[in-house]
Amino acid sequence: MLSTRRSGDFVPEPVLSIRDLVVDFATDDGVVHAVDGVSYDVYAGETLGVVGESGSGKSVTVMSILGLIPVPPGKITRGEAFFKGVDLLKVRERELRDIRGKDIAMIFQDPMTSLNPVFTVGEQIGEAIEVHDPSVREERARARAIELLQLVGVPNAERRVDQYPHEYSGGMRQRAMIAMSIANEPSLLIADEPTTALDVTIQAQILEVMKKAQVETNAATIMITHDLGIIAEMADRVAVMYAGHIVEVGDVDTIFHRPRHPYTLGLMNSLPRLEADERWLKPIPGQPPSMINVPPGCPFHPRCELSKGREVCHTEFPLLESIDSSQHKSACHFKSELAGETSKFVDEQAAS
Amino acid sequence: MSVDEVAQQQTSTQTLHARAPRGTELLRIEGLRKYFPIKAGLVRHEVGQIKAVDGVDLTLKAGETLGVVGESGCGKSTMARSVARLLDPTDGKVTFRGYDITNLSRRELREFRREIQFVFQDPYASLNPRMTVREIIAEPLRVHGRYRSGGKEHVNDLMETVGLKSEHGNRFPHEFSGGQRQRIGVARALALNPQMLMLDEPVSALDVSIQAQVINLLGRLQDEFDLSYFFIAHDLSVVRHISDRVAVMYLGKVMEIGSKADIYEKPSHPYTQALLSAAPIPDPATRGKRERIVLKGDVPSPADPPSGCVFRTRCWKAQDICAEETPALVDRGQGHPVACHFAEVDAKVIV
Repeated sequence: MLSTRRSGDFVPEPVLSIRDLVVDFATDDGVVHAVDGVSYDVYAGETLGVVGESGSGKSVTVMSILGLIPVPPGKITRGEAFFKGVDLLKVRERELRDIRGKDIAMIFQDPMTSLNPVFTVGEQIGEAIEVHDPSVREERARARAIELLQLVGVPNAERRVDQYPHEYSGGMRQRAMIAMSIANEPSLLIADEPTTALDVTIQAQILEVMKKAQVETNAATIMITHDLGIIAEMADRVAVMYAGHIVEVGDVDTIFHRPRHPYTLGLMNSLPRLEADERWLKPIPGQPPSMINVPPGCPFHPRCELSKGREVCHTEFPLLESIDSSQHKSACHFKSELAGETSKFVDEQAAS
Repeated sequence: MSVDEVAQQQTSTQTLHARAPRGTELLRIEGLRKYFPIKAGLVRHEVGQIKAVDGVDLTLKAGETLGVVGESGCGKSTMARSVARLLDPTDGKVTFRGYDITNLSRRELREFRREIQFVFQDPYASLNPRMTVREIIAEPLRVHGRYRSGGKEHVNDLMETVGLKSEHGNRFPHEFSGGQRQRIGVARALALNPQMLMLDEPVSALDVSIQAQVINLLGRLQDEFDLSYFFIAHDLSVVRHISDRVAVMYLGKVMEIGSKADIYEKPSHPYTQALLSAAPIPDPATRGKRERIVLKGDVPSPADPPSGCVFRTRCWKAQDICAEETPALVDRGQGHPVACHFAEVDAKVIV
C-alpha cells in the first residue's frame, strides 16, 4: 500500500503491511477470535509500538504472520501480510523459515528459553549467520559474533563469546539475543515484551541497545509491550489493541497528547504517576472481555463511560476511521467527543 | 509453666492483639539478617552463604504504608518473610507492638500470625485450585478456630468488602480473572482482622487497567480497617502512589529511607537516583529531556557482595573509601538517612 504519511515527493513503501488479519483458536469452550480484522503497516527505520493488555491479540498478530502459532488449534481465517511484496500467509513453510531469522528477526521476553543451553553464545550467533549464508566460514562467523556482542555492550566479548547462556545474567542474555537477531541485518525486527522480565536499570540498558541496533540496521521495528512508558520512550507510531482489534493508531505524540479512544485515555489515566501524588487512581471499570463471548457492538462498551445509554455502542461495531489528519484513527462512535481530552501525564503547555 | 509465667504470657498476647493506636510504632526491625547456606559436594557441606538480607533496620507505624523498592534479588521478599517468621532470621530482632517475636514458640507464633497476613504477587499460584473461593477465604478462620461462630456470614461480608459477589463463593479460582483472584487473596488476608498486611508485589502480575482497581481497593481497606501495609514492589510509580514512607534496598541492605517526598523529590543515594531516572514516564514529550543515568553492569552476587559499599561496583561516584568503609544509613544533611559517603541531592534527577 502506498502512503502519503511523509510530506514531499518520496513515498515510502512499508516493509510489512498486514491487512484484515483474522486469527481464531478452537478451545473446549468455543472459538476465540484472538485477532479480529487487524491491519497495520511498518516502515523502514521506524518503530511501531503495539500496546495492549494480555489477551488483546498484540502478540498473536505477529506470531501468526510468522507461522509461529500452533495449527490447530489456531487458524488464520483471513487476511494478508505483505513483507517486501510477498504474502507471508501464502508462502510455504520452507520459504518462511528462510525469511525468519534472516530478513525478519525476533526478540522475545524470556531470553533463557530462546537460547539453547548446550551451545555457547558464540556458536549460536554463528549458526544464525551460517544457516542463512552458508558461504560464511566458521572463523568469520566467530569474528562477526564478537563484533555483534561488542555492539550490544557485552563486556569482554572475546572471552564471553565462548561462554554458555547460563553464565550470562538476564540482561546480558537479552543483549546476546539482540546481537543474534541483528546478525543478518534484518529489514524487520519484532520485539515482544523485550524488557518485561528485566529490572528497571537493566531495562534502561536494553532499550539503549535496541535503539542502537535499529540505527545500525535501519530495520522497521515492531515493539510489542503493555508498558505505556516504554511506548512513549521508543515508538514513532502507536497502535492500541483491545479484544483483538486495533482501537486507535497514530503517531506517538498524538496518541499520548490527543487520544481519541476512551480505552487509550482510560489506560493512560489509570496509571499511577512517578512525579506527582494523587489520592485515588482512576481505573477502567470492569474486566477485559471474554474472548469467546465478545460483547456485541463495540467490544469496549461495557467498560466505557461514553457508551452509557447509547444504543449504537451496543449494536454497531465501530470502524477504525481517520480523525483530523489521515494518520490518526480511532474506532469509537463518539471519538469527536474526546476532542480536547489529554492524558493526565501531559501538561497543557506540552499538548498545545 | 508457673502461674506468673501464664499471667505474663496472657498480658503479652493481649498487647499483641490490641489494635495499635494510629501513629504509634507497630513493628520494629533491628539488625535483621537472613543468610542462606550454599551447599556442595556429596555430603552437602556448606561452602558459602547467600546474604539475602544483611543488616536491615526499619520501623512501621500503625496505619502507615512503608513501600520497599529494589530490583530482583535485593532481599525485599526475604525480608518480609523473615519478619513474619515464614523464614527464620539468621540474626536480628523483630518486635511487634513492643513484643519480641524473634524467639516465639510455635504456639505463640500462630497467635502472632493472626496480626500479619500476606498477599502474594501471583494469585494463580497462591490460591489452591481445588478449593472454592468460600473455602479459601474461610481457611484462616478454620485454622484459628473461628469459623463456627458466624464464619459463613463473615466470609460473605469479606467477599462483598473486596468487591466480589458472595453468590460466586462456590466457584473455583480458575473461573476468575487475574484481578478478581487478587481480590480473593486480599479477602483471605483480611479474614482474621489483622493489623498489618505484607503485600509482596500484589499488582505486578495484573493488567494496567486492573492494577488501578486493586490499588484503590487496598487504599480503601486501609482506611476502613485501620491497616498498616508493608508494600513491596519494583514499580516506582506504584510505590509512590501507595506509600507514606519508602525504603530503597540493594543487595540485602537499605540504601535510603525517608518520606515519599524525601525519596521522590530529594533522592540522595546514587542508586535511588539511577532507579528514578531509569523509570519510563508515559509522556513522549519527556523523551530526551530527562537526565538518564544508565548504570553499568549487573547486580553482584549476594554470595560474594563487594566490600565496603555494596553499590560501589556500579556507582559513578565510587572512590577508594567506598571499598574500605561500609557507609552507615544516617542523615548526611539531606534530612533523611542515606547510606552513601557522597550522598547529595541531584537537581537533575528530579523526575
